[in-house]
Amino acid sequence: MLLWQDEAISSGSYVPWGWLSISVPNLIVIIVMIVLFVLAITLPFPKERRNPRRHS
Amino acid sequence: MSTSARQKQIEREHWTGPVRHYDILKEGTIALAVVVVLTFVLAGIFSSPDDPALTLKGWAKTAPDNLYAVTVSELAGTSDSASYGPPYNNGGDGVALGPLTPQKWMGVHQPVDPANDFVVTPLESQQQPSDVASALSQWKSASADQQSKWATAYDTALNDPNGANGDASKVPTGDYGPVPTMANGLVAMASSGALDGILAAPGQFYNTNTTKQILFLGDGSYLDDAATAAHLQGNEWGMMNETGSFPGQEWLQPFSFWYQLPIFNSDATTGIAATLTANADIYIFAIIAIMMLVLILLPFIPGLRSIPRWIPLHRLVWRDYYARKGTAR
Repeated sequence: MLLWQDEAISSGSYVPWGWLSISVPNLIVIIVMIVLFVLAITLPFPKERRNPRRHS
Repeated sequence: MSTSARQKQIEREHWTGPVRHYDILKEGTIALAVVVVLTFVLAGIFSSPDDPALTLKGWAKTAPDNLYAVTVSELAGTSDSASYGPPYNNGGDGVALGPLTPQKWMGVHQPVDPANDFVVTPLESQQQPSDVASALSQWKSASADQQSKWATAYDTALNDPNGANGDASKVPTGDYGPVPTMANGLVAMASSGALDGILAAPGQFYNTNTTKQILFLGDGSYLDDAATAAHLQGNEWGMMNETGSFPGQEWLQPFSFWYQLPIFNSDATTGIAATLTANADIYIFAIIAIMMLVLILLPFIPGLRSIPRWIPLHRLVWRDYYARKGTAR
C-alpha cells in the first residue's frame, strides 16, 4: 500500500487572512455561490410567453 | 380581525394574482444535467480527493520511535485511548457540559482495551521471533499489578525529558520486564505490514470497523502530522477542507468557526478556557443546537420574525409585482 509521504500529498493552496484560513477551491465555490445568489435576486424573470393552455 | 383569523381568510381566498406555466420535470432534468457537467468539469480542474490511506506500516517506516513510544504507553495505560473513557473504556469521563456527562451516561458499549487490543493480541496472532515470544509469555504469566509496574516504569523512563526523552537507546537500566522486547516486536510487525490487517479485524475476512486502527493511529504523531500537512486540523478550519485541491465542506463553517475562537482553542491548563477547550465538542454542539432552535422557532420570536419587514429582500425579487401594485394604486 502506498504511503502518503511517498505520494508527496498535495495540501492545495490556501489564503491565510489573519485568523481566517480558506482553501482557494473553497473560496472559488463560495464566491460562485454569492454571485449566483445575487444574480438570482437581481436578474429579471423571463417574460411570459402566451400559452393557450394556461389556466387564467 | 386577529392575525390568525386573517391568515385563515387569506387561505380561503381565490388567487387573483399572476400565474405562469411551470414544468417541474423539465427544471429537474436541466438541473441534473448541469450538476453532472459541473461535477466532471470541477473534478477535472481541482482533481479528486483520493489520497492513499494512512497505514500502520507507514507509521513504522516514517516515525518508528514514535510508534515504539506509543506502544509502551498503551501497555502502561497512559495513551490518549487508554484515558479516553466511554464508549471505549473507563479511563475517563469524556466531555462534560457543566454537570452533564452524556458520554458517561451511555457507558462503555464499544470496549477497547489498548494494551491487549493494540499490542498483546496482535503479537499473539502471529509466529514471533523467540525473544518476542518469550517476552509475550512472561507478560501473560505476570499479574496485572506486575505488568503495570513494568510498563509504567519503562514509560516514565522513556519519556523523561531530562533523560532518554523518547530515545530508547538512552533509557537507563531498570526492571522493565518484557515491555521493551514487546514494543520492538510490535514495531517489527508494523514495519512488515502485518499489523494493518490484524488490528483491523482479527479473525474476520471482511471488515468495515476501523475504530481500533484509528484510535491507535490517533495516539501517535503520524496521523496528527498528516492532518497538519493537509490543513485538516480542527483549529485551522480543517472541518471545511478536503485533501488535495478539491473543494471541501463549506456548509460546516458554522461548526468550524467556533473551533477557531481562543476560548475553544486554548493552551491553558486551568480556568474557563481550559475547560471549554477540553470540552469544546459538546459546547459547540450545544451552541449549534440553540442556533438551530432559533431558526426553527423563528416565526414565533418577536423581533427576529420582523427582519423581512425591515429588510424587504422579497420586494427586490418580486419588484415587477410591487411596481404594478404601486401603479395600480
